[in-house]
Amino acid sequence: MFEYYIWAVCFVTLYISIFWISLTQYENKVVNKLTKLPYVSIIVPAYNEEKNINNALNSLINLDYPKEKIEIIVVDDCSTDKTVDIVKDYAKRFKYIKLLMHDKNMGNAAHSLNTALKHAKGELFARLDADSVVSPDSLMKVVHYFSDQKVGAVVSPILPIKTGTIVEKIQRFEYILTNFIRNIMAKIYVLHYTTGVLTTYRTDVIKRLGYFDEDNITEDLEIALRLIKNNYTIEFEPNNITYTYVPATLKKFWDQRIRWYRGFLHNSWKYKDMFFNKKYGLLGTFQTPLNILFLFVLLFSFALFVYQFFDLVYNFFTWLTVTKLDFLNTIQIPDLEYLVLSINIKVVFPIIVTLLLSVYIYKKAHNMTNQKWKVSFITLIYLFIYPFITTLQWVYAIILELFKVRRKW
Amino acid sequence: MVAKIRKDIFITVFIISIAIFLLGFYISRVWDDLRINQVNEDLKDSTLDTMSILIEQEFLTQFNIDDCAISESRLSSISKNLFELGQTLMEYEKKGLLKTKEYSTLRKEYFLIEVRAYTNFIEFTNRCNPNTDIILYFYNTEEDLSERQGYALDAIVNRDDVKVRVFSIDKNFDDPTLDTIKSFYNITKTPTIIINNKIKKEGFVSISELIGLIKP
Repeated sequence: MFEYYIWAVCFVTLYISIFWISLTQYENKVVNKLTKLPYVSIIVPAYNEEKNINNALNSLINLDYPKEKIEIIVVDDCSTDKTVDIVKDYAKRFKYIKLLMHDKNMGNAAHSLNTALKHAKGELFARLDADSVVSPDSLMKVVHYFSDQKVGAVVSPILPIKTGTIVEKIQRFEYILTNFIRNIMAKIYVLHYTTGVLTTYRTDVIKRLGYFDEDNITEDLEIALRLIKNNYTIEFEPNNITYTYVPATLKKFWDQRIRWYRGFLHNSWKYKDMFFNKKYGLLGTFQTPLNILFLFVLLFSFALFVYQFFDLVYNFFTWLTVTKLDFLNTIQIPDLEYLVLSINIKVVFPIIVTLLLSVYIYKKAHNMTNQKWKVSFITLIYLFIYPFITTLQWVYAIILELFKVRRKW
Repeated sequence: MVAKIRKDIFITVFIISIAIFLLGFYISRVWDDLRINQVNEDLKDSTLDTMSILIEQEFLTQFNIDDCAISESRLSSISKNLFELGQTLMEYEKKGLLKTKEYSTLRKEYFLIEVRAYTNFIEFTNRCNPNTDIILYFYNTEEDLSERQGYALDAIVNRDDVKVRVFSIDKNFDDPTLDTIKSFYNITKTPTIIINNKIKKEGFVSISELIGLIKP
């Protein structure tokens, strides 16, 4: 049973891996240049960001985009540190930087984005979380995508700014892979995510669609699904690398992922009519069924793993109880021929094939964002330990959703 | 916006995936062939060894030479090899792919060689009264208690302070010879062990109990 399940999972993984690899052969989309650069509002939601906001604002000031065509709106959500003082100082020096302040702490970015949107003058607006930075040519790279009227948002690759701890290093690896997959998803119009790091939106569209959902813990995912539901596409600019701080400790990482996964489950349910719906092209007929399959595989794998683990522990203790001090007598060193012939090809072969394809995809993903990659300790953790952590996070998120535990930012 | 993607890409990818999996099946079969060949050779060796002992015994008996000492060591060696071969065969069969018939034939061959070795040992025991104890063990692969009994027998076979040889038979294996043996010992449940052709014990027997039942 266990073996055939592994075969099935490996087959699906193999299929998807080959599918992705084949899509990498597709050229990136040709973007028509805009004849006139649009006015862009850059919104920076901030809460207690005194350590990071300097970097974010400096990177925005250094954008090689005409300054008369941008405004930077920082929305402070009642910070208790020096964030407001720092932004006020910037606002004095740079006329295109504005500070808006909430009367009371609203607790999530959606409120801040909506507050800013009510004042924003840009045809487009970009969101930049205060713990993130962009390159000087970032904005210029994304605005031209809006020459296509069907484009609702443009997303960029993200990499961690700091990779000191193991948790950060693993996330770097994951971000690189995620960027690669998002690029492929965008090629076939199934990208259904936006991010907090310079995702650029068409202002009038977001306003017309009812602004950001303030009761949503992953408002960026929600708005992405809403855009697609309303026949807008989300594009990805693979060469525009942006940077953000990622959780440095396991606790913070855990909390962030639980929020993301709960947000994913909540929004998937909210937009369930898009699933298996031909109207949304490959997103409806391929990507969303894949998301469901992924969840089922994850839950089933978890159940199977727990069963196998306890079965192993039970057998071990049975063996120990039966043999007592004689257990050493039962251990025999097998010869090499036996060891080789005992390899369970049914299980080992698909795992090897899947691993090889994964390695190829990792390599390609690193190339896409000009990152160097070699097999390291982090790769091994990512391949063999991280999936267990992710599975536990998903299971925990599912349990919280099932028991309707209050969602919090 | 609906993706402009060639529809045949899904089929092509599916065919490639199937091709890779077929390669996996092929390698599995090659591996199975290697395993089956190895077990076959070991079975052949065991058959030859058994035949060799019989011929040796005949020769020594013909010239009125005491063969007890020689036979004990040779029979012990054969039964030890058979015990290990049984474990190997079971392990290979678990990991095999679509070779059920071949593995079943091997098991049949194995059990028959084992019965022959067991019979030789009994005959030898009656004649020479050696220090070695013989256990005939009937098990059920699907049963937890049989698994526990297997652990206990594994441990006792490898102990230095006792000389025990174990011959294991799958109670559920369908074969007329094995049916005759089961009926002879009236085997109705598993695990059941027969010690030195005299003591029959049904259910799980612990290591300490086993030591108490075999020769001091």
